[in-house]
Amino acid sequence: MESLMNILPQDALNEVSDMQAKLAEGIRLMGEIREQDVQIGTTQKEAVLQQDKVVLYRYTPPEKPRDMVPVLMTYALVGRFTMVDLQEDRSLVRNLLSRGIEVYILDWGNPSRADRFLTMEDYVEGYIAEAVDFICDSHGVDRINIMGICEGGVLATCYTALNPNFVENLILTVTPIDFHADKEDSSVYHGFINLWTRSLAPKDVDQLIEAFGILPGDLMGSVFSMMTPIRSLTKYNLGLLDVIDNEKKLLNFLRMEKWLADRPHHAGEAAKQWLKDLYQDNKLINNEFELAGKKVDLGRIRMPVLNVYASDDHIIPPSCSRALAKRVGTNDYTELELPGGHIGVFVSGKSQGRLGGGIVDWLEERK
Amino acid sequence: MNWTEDASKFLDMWVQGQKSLAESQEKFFANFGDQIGKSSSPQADPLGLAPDAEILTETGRKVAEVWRSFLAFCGTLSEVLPAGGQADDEARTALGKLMDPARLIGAGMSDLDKTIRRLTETPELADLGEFERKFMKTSSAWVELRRCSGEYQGVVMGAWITAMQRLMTKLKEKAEQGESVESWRQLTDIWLGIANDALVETHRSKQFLEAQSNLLRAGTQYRLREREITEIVCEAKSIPTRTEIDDLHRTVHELRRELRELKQTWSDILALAGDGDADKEKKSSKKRRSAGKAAAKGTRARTKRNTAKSARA
Repeated sequence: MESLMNILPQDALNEVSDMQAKLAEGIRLMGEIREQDVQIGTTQKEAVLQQDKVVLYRYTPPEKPRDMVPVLMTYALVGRFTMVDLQEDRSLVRNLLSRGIEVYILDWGNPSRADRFLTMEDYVEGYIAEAVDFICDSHGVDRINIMGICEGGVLATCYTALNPNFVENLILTVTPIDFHADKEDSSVYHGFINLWTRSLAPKDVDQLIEAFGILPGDLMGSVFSMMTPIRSLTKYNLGLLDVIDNEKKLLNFLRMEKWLADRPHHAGEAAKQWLKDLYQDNKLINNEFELAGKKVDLGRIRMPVLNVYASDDHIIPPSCSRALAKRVGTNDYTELELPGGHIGVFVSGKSQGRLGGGIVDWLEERK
Repeated sequence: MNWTEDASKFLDMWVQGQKSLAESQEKFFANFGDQIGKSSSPQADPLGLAPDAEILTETGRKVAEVWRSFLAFCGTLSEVLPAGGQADDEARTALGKLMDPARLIGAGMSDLDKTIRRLTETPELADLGEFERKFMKTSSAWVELRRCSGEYQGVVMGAWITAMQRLMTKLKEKAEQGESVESWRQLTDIWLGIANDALVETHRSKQFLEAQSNLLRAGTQYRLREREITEIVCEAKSIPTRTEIDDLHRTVHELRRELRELKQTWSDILALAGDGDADKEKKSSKKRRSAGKAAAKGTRARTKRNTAKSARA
């Protein structure tokens, strides 16, 4: 049998020596990094409305905004909204502000067991509806633009279908609409959340919420880790080693870790609807999902729709997002495919400008 | 030292570690099963609430079996490893850690298991003898949690066995084709790529999904059983229970929702009456939206009534 390992002593020595040099530089850099260097969500903003734990923020425009309809962003309940403003050079918010768009965002806060009984009705017909009202009042307009992200896109879709008269344009990013369309995606790296959720019995979901009162953020974090097992496992040794001697990359790594570590719990009753009605029973795409006794009819979405999806989204497979095309009641429906994954669309260097620019260009065409 | 010697040394060390772990796991399940068997005699447990000792011992046996098959496989590795090449101790140690399933299970793959265990861990309640019936139920739930945890880890171990088999096959093929591994990092990357694929495949398997679903169910069941015991103590000592606090939260939530609807209705009435805002443009905009809302609303009985009032106003 031929020799397999062809590592010459000198090469091995060089490898170790390189690693030691990297580590030495990394240790030096780590020693110099301060808390303020890894701040996320730093774009200046002002709290303009508080409802329970939910805060509506208005981002401060760098200069006088253009005469454009403001945008309200709604983020997922399973993550933190700071992802759209991770750092100065990777910020969807800054990209929109720099093009003269007024941006508002809803921070859902940190639901605890005390918020167990919050439902998706409360989020859609309560918090979002109040926020829309507030923004309309502030700007003297009848309608605003709504931009939803992931689960926040589902909330935005529901709000829009139930209140179409108050939405000028609907923008969805990496949003699941058909929760069973992952079956059409042949990649084994896509759609694990769909599969995992369907593997639970409905009564297991009820029991989970009964036991904890919330859908624990830690639990969802574990499930997310299972999608990329080795990356999750090696990021603090190999992953960190790859970036440790490069200040810019190291700071990017640490900021992303900071965002990942801040995983809020999901309010209990809303989580039941999310997991059972949507992921398991797929009610949204079939116009069977009910909020406050009203069916969410996607056909009532008659305003222009921009649907942005990531070509390699392992959390929300593109087929789950693109299913919206056949259901909306408008002909003015546009899809924007961006390279990258679920989070990469917002934070990767490659996507910077493409997402924000694409949204603003699309809005300008409909001004 | 050549590659074969390196690998053998590494494998010896690794196999010994896994062997100890396997033996301790098997002993744990067997001993625990014995103890449960003794305490669950008809006299001690007339309601038959104690966990089944046989099931527990069987779980231990299955877990040990998986480990043994893995170790037997490891024993054959040196036969397929080619000779030649050199490596440094530091890199070999690092690679050893990356390839150690025991370490990996603790660090990554069993995140779900660990999370559930951490979420369910609370102070021991062994001194509540007077609440024997509920305590037995809780013990039974705990044993079920451990059993499910053992099964889950057994499935996970299967993925690592597959990964290791594929790695050895890959290395053998490379050697036969005259290809070589140029660095420890290259070897690490090959191993991690193979392991990732094996784990992803396992995560999507019916066996894994069932095991993790059982584990989650057992974890939450245990937590609920434990709550029952705690609540007996709370009630006896006039301390509010979790159930009472949940009821309170439900009431507050319903009141908050009602208040929000009333505020909205009142705001609509004011807007439609032309009262409130001084700014004409705002007032006009709000009035239009209120009228639109009034027309769109109408599902909940209370809201319906309020909306009708607002529309009339």
